[in-house]
Amino acid sequence: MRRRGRPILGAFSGLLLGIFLAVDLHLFQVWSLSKSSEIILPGAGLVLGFLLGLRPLFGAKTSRYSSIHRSTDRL
Amino acid sequence: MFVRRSAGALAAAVVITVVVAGPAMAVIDPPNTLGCHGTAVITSKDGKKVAVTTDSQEIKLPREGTVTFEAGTLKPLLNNHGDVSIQFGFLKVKAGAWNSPNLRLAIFVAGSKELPKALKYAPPGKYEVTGEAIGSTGSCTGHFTIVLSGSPLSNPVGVAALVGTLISLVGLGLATRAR
Repeated sequence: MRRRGRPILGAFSGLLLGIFLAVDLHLFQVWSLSKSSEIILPGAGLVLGFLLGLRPLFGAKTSRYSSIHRSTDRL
Repeated sequence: MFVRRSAGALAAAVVITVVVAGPAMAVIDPPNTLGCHGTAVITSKDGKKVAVTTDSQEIKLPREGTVTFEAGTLKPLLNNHGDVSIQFGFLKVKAGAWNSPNLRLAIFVAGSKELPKALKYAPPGKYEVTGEAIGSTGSCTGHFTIVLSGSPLSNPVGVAALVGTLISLVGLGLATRAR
């Protein structure tokens, strides 16, 4: 059974995280809302979320289901 | 009266936009051919005063209070218009605008203005304020940073942002799980 990831959910969640993080940093007076913060943080979140969503595809450990599946194949 | 009000509006804009300077930025954008200048004192409701001069780095603005200002130009700014805006990233919100012929050729004005009531409800943080005054005899542009204090959680925007951050983190966590 091929492991599948959730890159679209990851990208969407990452994008939202970037947007809300830009607002949080502004509210805590760490980084004022600016064109830079509104591009960099959501963009980075989108990319990071997409990559994290693909992570299951490249995971080294196999899932319990796939190891059971392989063992039944041998039988 | 009309000219005084117009000059006062211009002066308020000049003061609000051009009196603060800091090591990282110039408040009055060059070239200042009109010679715009001014000073201000912001008095909060509890009597605390904030002086705004060319040495000010950032202005810690009280939520309520009065701005007492003196401002002027080296030569009259005829047929002038302008505005003061607050930058929220890509979004620019106009805080005020004016339009005046300045028929009395005013070059100096002093007065006082109340801070906008909406400031009480603004989320805390640093905001870039920009302004410009443009006329047939010249123009001035400027910018500075205002700091609004307060707890992020005391404002609905702050609460919504933190909740949104948590939900996004949950979504990100779910996205990393295999299916």
